[in-house]
Amino acid sequence: MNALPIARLQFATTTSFHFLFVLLTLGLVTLVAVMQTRATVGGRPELLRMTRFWGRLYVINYALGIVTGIVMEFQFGLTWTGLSAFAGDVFGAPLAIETLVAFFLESTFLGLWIFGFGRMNRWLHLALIWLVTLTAYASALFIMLANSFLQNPVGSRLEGGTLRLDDFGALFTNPALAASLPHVVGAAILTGGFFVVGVSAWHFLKRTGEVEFFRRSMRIGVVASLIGAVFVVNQGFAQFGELAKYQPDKLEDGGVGLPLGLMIVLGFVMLLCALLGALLLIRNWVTKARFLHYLMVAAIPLPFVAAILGWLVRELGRQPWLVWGKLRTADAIADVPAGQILFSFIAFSLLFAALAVADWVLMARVAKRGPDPVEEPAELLVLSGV
Amino acid sequence: MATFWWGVLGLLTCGYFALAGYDYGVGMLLPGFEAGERRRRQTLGALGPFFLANEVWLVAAVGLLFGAFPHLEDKVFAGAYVLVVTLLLGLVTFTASMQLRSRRPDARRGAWTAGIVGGALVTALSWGLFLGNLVLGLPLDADGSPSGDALALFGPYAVLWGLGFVALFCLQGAAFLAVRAPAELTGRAARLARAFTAPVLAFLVIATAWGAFALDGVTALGTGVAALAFAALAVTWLGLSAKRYRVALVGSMVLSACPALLAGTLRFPAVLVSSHYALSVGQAATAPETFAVLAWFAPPAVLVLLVVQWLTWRAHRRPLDQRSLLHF
Repeated sequence: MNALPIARLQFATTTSFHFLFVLLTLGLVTLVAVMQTRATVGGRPELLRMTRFWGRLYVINYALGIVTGIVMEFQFGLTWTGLSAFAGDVFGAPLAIETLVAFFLESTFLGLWIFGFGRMNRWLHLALIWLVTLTAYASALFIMLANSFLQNPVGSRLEGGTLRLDDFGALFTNPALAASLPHVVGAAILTGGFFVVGVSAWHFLKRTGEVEFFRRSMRIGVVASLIGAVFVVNQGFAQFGELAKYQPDKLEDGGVGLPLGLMIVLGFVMLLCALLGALLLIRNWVTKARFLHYLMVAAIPLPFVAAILGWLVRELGRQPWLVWGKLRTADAIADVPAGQILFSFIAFSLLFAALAVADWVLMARVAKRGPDPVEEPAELLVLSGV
Repeated sequence: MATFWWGVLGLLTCGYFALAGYDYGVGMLLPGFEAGERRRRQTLGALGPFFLANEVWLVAAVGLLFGAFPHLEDKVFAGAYVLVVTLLLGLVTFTASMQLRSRRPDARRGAWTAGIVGGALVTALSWGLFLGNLVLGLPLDADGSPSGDALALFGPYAVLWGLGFVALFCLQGAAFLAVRAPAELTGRAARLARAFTAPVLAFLVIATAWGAFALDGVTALGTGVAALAFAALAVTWLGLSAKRYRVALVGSMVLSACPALLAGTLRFPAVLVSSHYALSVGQAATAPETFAVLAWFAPPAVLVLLVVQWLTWRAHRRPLDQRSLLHF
């Protein structure tokens, strides 16, 4: 039994699960932060209820983002020991900074935000959600920076068989990062927008009494979808120019063509949807077009599919290199017996699949239940806001 | 330079065990502590404001391990492959179940509760086995690559550590509940904590005596850490007897940090040993240029964190009452 394909499949599977959750985390937290800002500045009670409802969905999604992220972090040392040995002196720095500056602070601030609902000065509480958002974006920056280094190992030199760091600043100006970071951020905002629009559309289909609540939510979702879609398409095409500088033959590979084509089609479909939605914002037509609401619910998974395809293009196109032109994937695998890697692959896949399904069922149920009624029911236990 | 960063890594690792240890303890004690759903939510609610912040100390520690000691990270994780995988399975199950259990007011929660208890138990056992192996010496080949023998990771000394960690975290969890559980449950938590002091003492005595014969090249620092563990257990016991539960909690937190502290200092400057292999802190470390980059980011982040988490502790240091927010 050959360990290499199993180890690659394990990394691809766990990363895909992780990506599905962090993508929505990044998009949704931005929308929640915007809602809370408007609630704090304008003081409309509707916007505060929106912050709670969408914040609750965000928190459920965030849980799986964390746990899948922990497994990602350990995996470099578990199966890809050749990477630490060869490029650890360079690659380790952005990963360490990501966990310390972003992940660590993000969770701490999120805990304060959850337990600060109604217990804290409202401006301080608002600052917390923005700190959570900011650290989430910092996370995306450093992870994309580390990934871009694998695509195009800038800022380093080969010395005694290992890579040494020359210029940390060069990692930030890497052409592999230049267009891909805004592309991913755009994708996240698009995902958040489609999610909010889809859930709101479901409530309109069920003839909700909360018309004002979901009308406002849908408007914010449509605007986010449009901004995200424009970014994602624009920066997607901008990557072709950057790619010519560091991996000119990347898209020649047969395995990359199909995912690339599908992603581009999906990108344009979503841009058209967002444009149509934006037009229908006039006189709130968007909340009345029932046949469109069915499509909006059905469109919730589209950004996720496109994101996985995009990730396949980027990573499959890098093979057979782990660090482009310097270290082959086959040379980086750990000396662990294939049977043990097969065991961990099966165990992680089953556990992640079970948790992901449970998490999505939970999100669907909480989303369908809708926001809490305006008058809080008298409860024995004081429940947190989200 | 490498020694300084070894200390920072030690701070994060010890912080993780001192804080997250009681998360796992409360998780394992959950079914035995109180049966009703209302009481269970209060038990989990005691952890509430700290839970997310506690768990990420591990993420930070492993991130720094990768950034500052990349040549240790690969050997230690691949060398204990099966144990690291069971640890992750336990951690993922525990952390996810904890966060998702109470999200719907009217839902059934049996499966999530089982996930919390089982996940915490597997996590505690795996940490004990992992650190026991580190202290004894990992089964590595002469070049530091994994020997591939999974059964070698389950030797009797490591199994002793695995069981010892279950008792250790339970003691810590019970001491935590004595501080934070609703006032009417304080006595029950304190009795539970006292009951766990005997197995923890047995673990410390056997592990130390066995280690004194089985290990060689132990530094004075390593001996000091073993003494610190006994002192911390004594403080915990005295705190419980005198009903000074915060003192007992601090004692048990120091105690939980001791095994990791021991693994880091036992043969310093050697940081990883096997029967035919040894890695020194200098060999494990990254290049000086990389340390210089880390120096810009790590100390401010750790400082902000300590301040924010300290403020959280100040705000929630009293037992849970009717007004407390429950999230988990």
